[in-house]
Amino acid sequence: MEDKLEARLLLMDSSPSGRVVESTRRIMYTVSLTLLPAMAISVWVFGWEAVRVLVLAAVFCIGLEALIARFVSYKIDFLDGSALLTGILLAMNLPANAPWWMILIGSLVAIIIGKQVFGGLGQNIFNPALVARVFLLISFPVEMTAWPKPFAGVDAATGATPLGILKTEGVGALAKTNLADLAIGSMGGSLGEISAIALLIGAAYMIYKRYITWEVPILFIGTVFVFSGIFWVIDPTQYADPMFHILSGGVFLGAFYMATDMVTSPLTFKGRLFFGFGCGLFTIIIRMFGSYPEGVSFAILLMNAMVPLLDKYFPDKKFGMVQNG
Amino acid sequence: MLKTFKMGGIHPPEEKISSNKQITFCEVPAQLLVPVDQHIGKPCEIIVEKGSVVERGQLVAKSTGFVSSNVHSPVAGKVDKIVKMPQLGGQIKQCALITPDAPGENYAEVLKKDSINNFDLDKLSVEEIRKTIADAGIVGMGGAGFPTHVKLSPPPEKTIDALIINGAECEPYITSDHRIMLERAEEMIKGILILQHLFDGVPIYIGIERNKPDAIETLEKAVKDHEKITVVPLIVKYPQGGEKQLIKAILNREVPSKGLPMDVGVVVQNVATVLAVHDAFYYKRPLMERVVTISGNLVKNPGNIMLPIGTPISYVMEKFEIDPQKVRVMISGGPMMGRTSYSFESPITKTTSALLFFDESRIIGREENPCIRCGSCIRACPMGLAVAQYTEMIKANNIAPAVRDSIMDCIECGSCSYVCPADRRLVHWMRLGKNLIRREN
Repeated sequence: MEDKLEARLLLMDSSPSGRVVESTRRIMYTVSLTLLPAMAISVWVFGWEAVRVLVLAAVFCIGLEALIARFVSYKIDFLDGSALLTGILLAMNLPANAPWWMILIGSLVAIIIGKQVFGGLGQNIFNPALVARVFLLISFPVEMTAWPKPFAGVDAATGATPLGILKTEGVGALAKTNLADLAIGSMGGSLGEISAIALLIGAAYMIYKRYITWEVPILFIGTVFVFSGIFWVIDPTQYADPMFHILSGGVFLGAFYMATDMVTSPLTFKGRLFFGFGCGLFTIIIRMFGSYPEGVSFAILLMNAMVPLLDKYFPDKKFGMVQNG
Repeated sequence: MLKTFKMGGIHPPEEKISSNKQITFCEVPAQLLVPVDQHIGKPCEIIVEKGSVVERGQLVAKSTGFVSSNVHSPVAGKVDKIVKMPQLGGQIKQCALITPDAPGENYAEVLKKDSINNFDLDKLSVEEIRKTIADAGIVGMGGAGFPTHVKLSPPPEKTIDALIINGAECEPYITSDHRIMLERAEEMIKGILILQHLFDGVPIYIGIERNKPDAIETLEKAVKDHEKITVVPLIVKYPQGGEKQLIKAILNREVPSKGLPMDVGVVVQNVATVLAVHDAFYYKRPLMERVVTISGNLVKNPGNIMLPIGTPISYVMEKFEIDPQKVRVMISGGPMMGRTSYSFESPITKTTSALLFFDESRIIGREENPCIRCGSCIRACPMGLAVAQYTEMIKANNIAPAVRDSIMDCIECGSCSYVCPADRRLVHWMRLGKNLIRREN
């Protein structure tokens, strides 16, 4: 009736009119923050070298994504935290004495081959940090397996990881390692592999925030425990005990931070159970029978490839799929 | 133990700021825009023309089939013209522009003039009850607008063994049903008894979320002489007011996929609808007015008001002193399922449970970010749908045959979009998917 009422245009959108405060950025930065305890342990164990690897990996990953953002047609928000998280996780998978050029190659592989060739955030099939780790492991086996000894300082002598000792020298050589050291993180290994407890603290917060669910980590670790336990019961002189298997190597990092990556893990409940089980099974098969001492990265990448199938063939129960009335 | 539905669901801020405001009455506005179509189903046929003189309660548009609903004039007056006007929700539809004979008259006085009808409920036949409800143009007043007489006429092979009255009112802000339950409990019960008569005295459950303790108390008092009517307090959870969720919560029956409540022997009616049924019998009053919650951050004195159908929003804004210059977002219904609207000249309809006015602080229309497969939408979905997967298929216009039924099961409650960290318009894509599937069939 009066024209002045129509003076300002109203905003319109599809319902609902309102959202939660949660955002992609908040999730990515929170997950990055939950890695703080594990990062702190790695700095405590390996000193400034660990800081160097962490900072370089993060800067390289974000920088590369910013660079790619200039050349692609779709929008890339390189500060959304996903590149930062990839960088931190990549660093977690590297030895503390990794040279800068190796970190750069790792970042290139993670961001370009691991993520952007698929179409960027949310589109990648494989966990970018793991793609980079496996690429480096195959390309530079010497550098990637020459781990600095804990608390040894900058120009430290390098030594093997507990799993490496197990592979090359057999179970008898493991007598020196005790479980408490493994749990706290005072052992050789890549930055993030070393402390199970620190990883658990971060993971507990992520489960509380529902960023990850319990299915994948529990099934993953459980499967590793059960299968290594079976071998151990059969012949304890040839196989390491199950506690050693779950606490050493990348099982905790893989189970809580790599396998649970939202983008590359199944959406459905049963899919996640199967995914966790598969990760554990492949890990043990590779550790026991493969030529590599550690199998977590390969296992997760193999299961990543199965995610679309798992989502398709293990759908969640829907409302109304019952016979009643 | 308090009940609720199990699968999915969210808990948005309740914002029931108008819950302690009594239902007020407006004055008859200077002009009414009575929309011809206010329901789901076949469109009505308009039977007045420019210059027609109408009485209060006179038919303006006639139902054209079984799934259709009459429209009546709430006031005595003259039809100025038939115009096409934008409706709340966006469509442009025919309206009868009616100039009342006595503008400014208090609507409470108008209601008082309606004659009281005495009748014997036991002597009413089932057909008579259905016909009265159909003639009164009563539709589901919770928001959907499905003709009530159709819902009350299940095919003979379906036995109805329970009737649920939906007082969940799970949407944020809306308090109109809450006020009706508080202030009109006796009349509600009378309306419920009529419906009970229709189904041979089946047990009746009134589902109310426990954030309305006063309503639960009032109704419990009102039903204490009726042993077959039970008040069921419910845990607060959205979308509990969805029929399928409410049936699951109260009776633990699951309506099958693609099915209707009557497939599990239940009919659900909204609180406001029950009141309209009461009015249709006890006052011979067709559905011509409803309680509307006026709220939102621009409304200084939020409230609940009885408005005749066809009241223009501009009248409401004047009455509630809402500055049109400040309004940026206007929602009819609740923020979860209600629709944003663009015209202050749109009229109130039978299904307008609330009008919400917000300034730019209500953030809508943000840019969509890539899906990170976090699975929040799937956890929130009360129907257990894999929303993230379906919407990718819908956007690619490549919907797998296996998921079609699931997409059609979407109740468009908005829980998925609400929780999505990437601001994806998931409900919007699901609606598109439904339309794509419908078009193919």
